Amino acid sequence: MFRTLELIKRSRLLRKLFKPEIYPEVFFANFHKLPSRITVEWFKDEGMIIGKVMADGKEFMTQGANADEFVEMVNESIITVFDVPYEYFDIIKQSRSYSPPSEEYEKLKTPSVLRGSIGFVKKDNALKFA
Amino acid sequence: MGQFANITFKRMKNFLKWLGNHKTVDVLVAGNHPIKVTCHESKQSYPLPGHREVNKHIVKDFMEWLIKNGILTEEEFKEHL
Repeated sequence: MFRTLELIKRSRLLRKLFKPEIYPEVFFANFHKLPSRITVEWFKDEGMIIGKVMADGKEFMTQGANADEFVEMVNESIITVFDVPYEYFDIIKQSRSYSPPSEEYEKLKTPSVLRGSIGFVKKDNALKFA
Repeated sequence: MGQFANITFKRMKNFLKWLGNHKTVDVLVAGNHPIKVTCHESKQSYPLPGHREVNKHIVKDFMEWLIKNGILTEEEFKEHL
């Protein structure tokens, strides 16, 4: 089933008018569904950062135009693959549950560093968003 | 990576439309979130970046995921992409 953009625009408008209620219990359940550790092997290709994400037996690839976008895409991809409902997507995404250590983040930003591997640990600071 | 190239989002979207209509997958496009392709049988999902170009490494990996989940063959993938 393929949902069209028009449907998305309608649903966005409905979401703005009738904001879905966030239930803390559901939020916690979805947050705890996410893996506590993930590994990302990344490299740079044609101006993009490409990463292979390995999380709880699942593997997939994602991309970002810069370090910030890449980390955001890693977070979004994990949330997508682990079936977090879209009502809770943004609130979990805001928390940036998976952020790289600062030295690894600097490597992502440094143009001369072309590849690397990052171990992300899930941060519990998302719980304060609930 | 000689046989794969970066592809535009529009081309990927057309391929996903065909995939959703002809194969046992659900394709969910929701705003600026990653596109979620879910296999009916295995219940496994693959998140595709939903903006600008899709890098050739991701195209290849997505193809391998589709083949591994028995959704289509390499020939079908190349024919319809």
